[in-house]
Amino acid sequence: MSVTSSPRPASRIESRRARHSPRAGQAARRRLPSWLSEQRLFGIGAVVLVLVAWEVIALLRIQPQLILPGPVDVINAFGAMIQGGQIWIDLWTSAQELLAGLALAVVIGLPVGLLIGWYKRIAWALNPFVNFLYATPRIALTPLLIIWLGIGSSSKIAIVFLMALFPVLINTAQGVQSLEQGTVRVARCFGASDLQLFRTVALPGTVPFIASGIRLAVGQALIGVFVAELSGAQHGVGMTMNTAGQQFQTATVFAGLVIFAAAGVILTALLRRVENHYAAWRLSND
Amino acid sequence: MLSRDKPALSRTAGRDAAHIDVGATGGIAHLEARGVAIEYAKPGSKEVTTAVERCDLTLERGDFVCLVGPSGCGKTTLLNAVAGFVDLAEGDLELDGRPIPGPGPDRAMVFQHANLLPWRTVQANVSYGLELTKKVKKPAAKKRADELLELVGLAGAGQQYPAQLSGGMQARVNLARALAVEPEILLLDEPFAAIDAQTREVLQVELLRVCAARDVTALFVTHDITEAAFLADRVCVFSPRPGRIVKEITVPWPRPRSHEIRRTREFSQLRDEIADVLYGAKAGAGEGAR
Repeated sequence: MSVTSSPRPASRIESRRARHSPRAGQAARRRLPSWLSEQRLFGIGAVVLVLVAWEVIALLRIQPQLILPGPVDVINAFGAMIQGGQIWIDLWTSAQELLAGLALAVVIGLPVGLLIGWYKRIAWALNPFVNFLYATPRIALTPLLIIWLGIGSSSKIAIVFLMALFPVLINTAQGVQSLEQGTVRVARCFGASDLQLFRTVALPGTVPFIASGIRLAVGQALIGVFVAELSGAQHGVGMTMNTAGQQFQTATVFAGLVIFAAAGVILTALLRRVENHYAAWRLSND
Repeated sequence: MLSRDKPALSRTAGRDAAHIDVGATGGIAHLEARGVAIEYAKPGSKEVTTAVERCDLTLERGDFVCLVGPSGCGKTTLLNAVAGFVDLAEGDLELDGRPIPGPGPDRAMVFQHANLLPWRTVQANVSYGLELTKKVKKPAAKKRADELLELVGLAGAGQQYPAQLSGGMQARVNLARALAVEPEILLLDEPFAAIDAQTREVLQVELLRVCAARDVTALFVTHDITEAAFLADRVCVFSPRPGRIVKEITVPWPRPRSHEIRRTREFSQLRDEIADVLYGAKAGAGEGAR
């Protein structure tokens, strides 16, 4: 059976590979161990180089250690924090705020986003609120939320929730709205009920959008955690950084920064894995 | 059932219709349209446009009928009415003597774009219709999907995803999916229009083979005269909008057919005959032989 295949654009993976010149790739493959691709080599190399440069500059003491500690000082500060035991309470508090806010944002943002995407009348009714809140820097609601909820964890969760809600909600709605109408028609043609249409077409088609919405929400939620803890808190990584900053413990500030960055990188990487898993069919697409 | 060697006779009330209904099956026709008119209102205005008017059409079981006409003539609208997507303004449209209720799996549609669900494997796409009707258990549905994939020449492709398939292969999956629900009638809306010319000719032969193997009744919309002449038992030529069937032309060759038919003089003559009707109102029939 001869079937002429229509030309399709190269997959994302192929185009990524194509960026390296083939000869350099082959040469590198011959010398490097299997876990170390050329791409990784350059990434790790650059990071090591920057860390070394930072340490050298710090050791030259152009600026006092108070202003610019080196990577070794930051590691020492970490050690001190772990020995003091305070860090675990801070981490636990911040992690709770982050995860509770994120979970709330998903639990509320997902169904509301689906409803907005599916029913245009709901979209018309809710759009003014969504647009208003989305355009407002939600961080500016912090004083209001503290008045209403106090400086305990509930106000912090509320801020994280508000920060994380919109990426989830808007992405989900957009996912439903950008469903291929042709596939909806096919389902209708086979006599699909509304529920079947939702389960077999709308939901699976939206999953990649939901996943990337949650991934974006993580970044927003981390901002929320930090800012919420700035405005008064008993514990938390952000609070510790703030206190350390006021006492010119610059190395500790850096250590807090590393914690935030690591949380962001790890969560984003995890979610990207989930995203890729559910969007396997997309890889060879577009 | 009608023998495939004799094109079914039919009755039309169109102006030029010269066919006589001899009641080949003695009873009611499989699909019958009597005086069908379809109107639609443009969104945001009260102006009503007539898409189809005074349309008569009869299909017996096993018939393969092509609707050809200029673009926008309402042939697709008529197909959508049979599918149950649009309501009639006048007339009757009956399947086995019963009015058409709404969309349902007894009339499977093959659209121009394959519209496969990209997150489902090819096999799961073919069994999709069965899954919705819930009449068949999952293992049985999978088995039937594999059988149909073999029938359309895609044996072994069941675990691939649509994005891995070429346009021609997607069209085959599209056909297999429609056949999986074992429809009473197969409705095809320019299914090969977006496919390159060579693949299209291969798929046309394949379609006729599949229809013969499954004893399919088909209503096929196209703007391609050659395609209509090659596929159909009867070609219904539409007028420009409001669409009306101006002539029904019987194609003499038995189905399934092979490529050689396209090269015969009779085939060109038939094509010209369709073109003459189609472009009759215009300056000449020169551009008809496409």
